[in-house]
Amino acid sequence: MPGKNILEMRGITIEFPGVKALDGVDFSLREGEIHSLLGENGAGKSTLIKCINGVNRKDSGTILLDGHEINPSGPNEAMTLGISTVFQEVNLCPNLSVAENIFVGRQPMKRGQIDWSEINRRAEELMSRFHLDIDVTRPLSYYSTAVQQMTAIARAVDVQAKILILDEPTSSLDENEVQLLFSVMRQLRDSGMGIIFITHFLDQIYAVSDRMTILRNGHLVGTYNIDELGKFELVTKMVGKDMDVIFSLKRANVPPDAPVMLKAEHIGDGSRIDDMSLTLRKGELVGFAGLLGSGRTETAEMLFGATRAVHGEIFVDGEKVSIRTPFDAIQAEEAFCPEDRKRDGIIGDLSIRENIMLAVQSRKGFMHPMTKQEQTELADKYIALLGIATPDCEKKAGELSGGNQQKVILARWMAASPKVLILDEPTRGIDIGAKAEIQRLMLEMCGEGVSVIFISSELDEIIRCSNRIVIMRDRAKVAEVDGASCTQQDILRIIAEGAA
Amino acid sequence: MAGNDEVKQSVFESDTFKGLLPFIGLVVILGAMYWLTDGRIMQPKRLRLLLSQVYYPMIVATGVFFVMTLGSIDFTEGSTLGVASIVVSVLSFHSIPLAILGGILTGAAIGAVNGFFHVKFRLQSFIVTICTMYLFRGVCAYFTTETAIPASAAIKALDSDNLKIGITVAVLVVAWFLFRFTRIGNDVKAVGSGETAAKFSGVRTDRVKFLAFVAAGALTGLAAFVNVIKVGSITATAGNQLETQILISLVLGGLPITGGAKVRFSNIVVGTLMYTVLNNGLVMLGFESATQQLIKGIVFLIFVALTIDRKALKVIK
Repeated sequence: MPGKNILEMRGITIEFPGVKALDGVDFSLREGEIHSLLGENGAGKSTLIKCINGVNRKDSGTILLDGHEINPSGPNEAMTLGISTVFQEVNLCPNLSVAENIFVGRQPMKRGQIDWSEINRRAEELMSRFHLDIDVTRPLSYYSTAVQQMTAIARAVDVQAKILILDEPTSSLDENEVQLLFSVMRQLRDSGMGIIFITHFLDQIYAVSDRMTILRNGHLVGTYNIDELGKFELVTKMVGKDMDVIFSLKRANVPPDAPVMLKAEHIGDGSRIDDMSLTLRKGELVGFAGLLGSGRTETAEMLFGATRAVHGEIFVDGEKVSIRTPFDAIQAEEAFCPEDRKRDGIIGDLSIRENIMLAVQSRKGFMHPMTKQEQTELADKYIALLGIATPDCEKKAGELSGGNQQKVILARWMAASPKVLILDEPTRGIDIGAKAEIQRLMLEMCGEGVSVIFISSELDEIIRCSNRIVIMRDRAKVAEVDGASCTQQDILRIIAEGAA
Repeated sequence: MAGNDEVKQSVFESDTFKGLLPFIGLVVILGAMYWLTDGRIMQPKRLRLLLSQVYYPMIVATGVFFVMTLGSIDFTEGSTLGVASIVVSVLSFHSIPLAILGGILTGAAIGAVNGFFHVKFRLQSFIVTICTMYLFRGVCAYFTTETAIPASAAIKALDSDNLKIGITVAVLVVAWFLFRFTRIGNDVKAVGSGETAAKFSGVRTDRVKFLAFVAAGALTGLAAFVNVIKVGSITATAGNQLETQILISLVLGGLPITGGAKVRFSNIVVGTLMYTVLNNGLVMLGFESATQQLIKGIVFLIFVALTIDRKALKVIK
């Protein structure tokens, strides 16, 4: 029995300089439903959310809450109207207790003093509603990300919210934590709350939502009941083009006598990785599979000099190299896209041009500066080649969507024409269309003779792209399998059991 | 459409306005002082006096500019200037070129100490430089408490506007060229806006940071030479409060305190001029020093509140 609409948005248009972020979008949310909002990065999901909670001002259109027009000027006003948002990054104070975090800014008072026992009692009550039996007086940082997320939600719902917006709440949770979150979401839905849910994980959409709305390039594609649309149709609607690209990807072709481009022998950093050996042939793509913390990233960082290998030897193109800093690695013609794109990859305040030219400049050395014109030509070339969506190369890299930022980092390294490219989770957090393009680019580079190490948590893309797969567990290599002949089950079994 | 957007996001928040604000501020302060002093501030004699106070702060500010672009801070300029001035004065009895070299090397050495502790021990730059500020202020006081240290007559004879202008302009041009057209500028901006990302892209971040402090020290050492030919003898208070003057000048000039990609080379020139005009104007108007400080404080507060980039606020390295 569908409830009545609590939120109705009609003809919402928001313009930013140069782009229409939203163009005449309609959206409605019913009482007691979980409504997924879908679309690729840059489709306008965040903009729509920010329009509801007052961060962005709309240029035209109306928002009706319970039939009354609202025009919130910021998250605080939205909150008093009953619209609460939990953002992707938990915005809480790690040093305060769970209870303090829930009530910060609106502590219940008693005789002019903060009523601590009341705070703790109410916090416990809220958390037990979520089936979390925890000590609410402990600092927030003591608990897992999932509990922190629950705390943020508890804070959001305790202010008598009618609408709860969850922006990618599951991206840092493990499977059990996701289930816990879902049960909380269902509970809140059943109490009549309208929940807007954003995620990149298709399975989660089908597991928890009632309806979904799809956006593409700032336009509304449509709103559907969850059983109306299969996964394949959903993805096709999101991407707006055929999914054939993804399925047409071909593994790199490596002759068995291809020269070894990277060889690591018994390298270790003295603490996290003890003994790792690896070979990589010219034009080969080697996938690293394993759970988070299995040593994938640590190995990659050692190969690139981000952490120093205290023993063992590294050879690039047959020559022994001493790699103590990333600079040394770049001189040895290695390249590295780090896992944390925002912190370690892109420099948001610099323009696309300046970001792209960093590594080339480092290779060329101080005495060979590039003229502005050369830099612009270089940047424009890669913007066209990789299809980076930007008006020009002087736009700040931080203003691009995640997928486009990743392309800028790829361009940075392609421009430096490396022999060995190490990609740590290059497709995390970006949408399906951009993912397929990054995979295609990766394989194209292999075709041009670049050797690639590809780290990913998504086994299907590892299997789809890799010639060989190195399986890691407990900070050591446990097996190497052939990419063409292995299955997800094989890999999962090795990860679980620890031997081939 | 862009115009529309600026109106919406309030004029004060737009980047264009913030970029122009230092220039507007300079014109406003200059205009106000012209009006308040009935034009006396523009008399040739006054202008010369005013300019004579611009040279060495501007040279020092050029070095600090690089440090602050990294998102770091340097509090040692005053004490470095003091110590380097002593070296310059003592050596000036032997040979002038030696005195210049000695001053620069002394400054560079102090900068190297700062850079070493900042980089090797991963100490925040403002902690390091506050400590070394006391240290070298102590060194300066040790040599000058009994009597002032005189400089040779030969070095005092060099005192001419042409020389001082020449040195200042040369420093600015070279630094501008390095900042604008070589990799140095890109590297410091990259470190200031995203250190790890810069490191992973092959920027040798530790070296860049170390060299920025050495450069700031060396330029302060050169400024010490310009200072000595002007004042002739060095007392315990040489360069006192210079660090805050430089810091506030650069901020007045529009330099974001967090450094990074938004710095402009013009920040140095505009800021130093603005500070000096304000300072001189207040003296000419006959305020006593307590009142002067009060007015300066108010002007700085207003200005910083108008210009600071709140989105970029983070901890200073």
